[in-house]
Amino acid sequence: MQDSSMNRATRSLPEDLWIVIAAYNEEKRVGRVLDELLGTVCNVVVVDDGSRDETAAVVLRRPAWLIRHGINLGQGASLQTGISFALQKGARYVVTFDADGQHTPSDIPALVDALESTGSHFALGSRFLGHAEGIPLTRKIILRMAVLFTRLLSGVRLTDAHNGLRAMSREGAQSLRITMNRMEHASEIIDQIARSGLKYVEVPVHIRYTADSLAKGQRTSAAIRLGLKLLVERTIR
Amino acid sequence: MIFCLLAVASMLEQAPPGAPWNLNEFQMLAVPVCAIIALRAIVQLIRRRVPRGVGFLAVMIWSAAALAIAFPYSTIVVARWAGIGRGADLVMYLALLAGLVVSSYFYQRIRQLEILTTDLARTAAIAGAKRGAAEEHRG
Repeated sequence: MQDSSMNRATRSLPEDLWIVIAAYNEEKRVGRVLDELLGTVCNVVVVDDGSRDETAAVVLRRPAWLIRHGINLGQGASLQTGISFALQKGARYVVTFDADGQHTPSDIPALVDALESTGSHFALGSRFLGHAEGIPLTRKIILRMAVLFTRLLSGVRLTDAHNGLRAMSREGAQSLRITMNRMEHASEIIDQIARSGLKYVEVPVHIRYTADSLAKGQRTSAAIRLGLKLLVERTIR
Repeated sequence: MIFCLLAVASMLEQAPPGAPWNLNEFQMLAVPVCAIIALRAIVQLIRRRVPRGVGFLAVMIWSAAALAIAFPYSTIVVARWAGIGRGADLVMYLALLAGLVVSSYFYQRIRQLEILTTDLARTAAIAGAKRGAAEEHRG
């Protein structure tokens, strides 16, 4: 699926831009995501996080890099693996992108533009500044609470604290070291951005919710456990 | 160390002159066990099989446990010295603190191991990175 905005993007995306995708059991969706991306971006790395389906085979049928974790480590661990690999390959910009089709490739140029025009090292996507198509009310409430929680824990004021669509400069990517392997990584990233002192900016993005992506998404109970785990981590470490 | 001295003082205070110690069944079992473990900790410390700080801590904890079980009145003496009402409260507070310290220690150890394991898996995964086919992939 390529629209005119993506065609405009063809001329503007840097060649040393890398897209990092963490995938776990995404054989049904990752192919379409890659087809959308590879039309305009040269460098895509998919980290297969110990999938038990044909995710790896789907990726290898396309000109994308595949890295496979031997065991399921979590999205945070997968993103760090992808970021480390992209940096090794000389990436100047790294964009993290979801494998489930929630993110829109046409948002990538805006993220990169934000980095370049504002001199920021992190451009964080915000569905609340942009548009969240089909978002259930409960998900909206949980995400708003996550924003408040992040503000209390990290002192960072954001409108969307758990958006997987983010761009970073090489320096920004090098400053990150994601150690929380599961979904807590999103808060850890925000925390590390705050502590790094590097400039960040929020950018409106478009998120598409489908029945598939909602089924795979975080449940309310998981969100509560995540919050508790972050509190414990902050208290003890 | 202070606890041990106070325990000895309470022991002298408690025991009537010439009377044998009157231990219940639990004390008869627990005191020797704690004393043996304390002795073992002393031997390990002398033979430098454990770091000095860990060794001293182990000796003190097991000695204090043996004395507190053998002379329960000692906990009251120590509690009063510390401004706590009852010996049982003192034991509870110490147990709570110990539990928090031990939980924190093991949480940090688990996190370190998790990070090490992840780094190891990551290094192996990146070494096996492959690029997919560059030919026509749509269909």
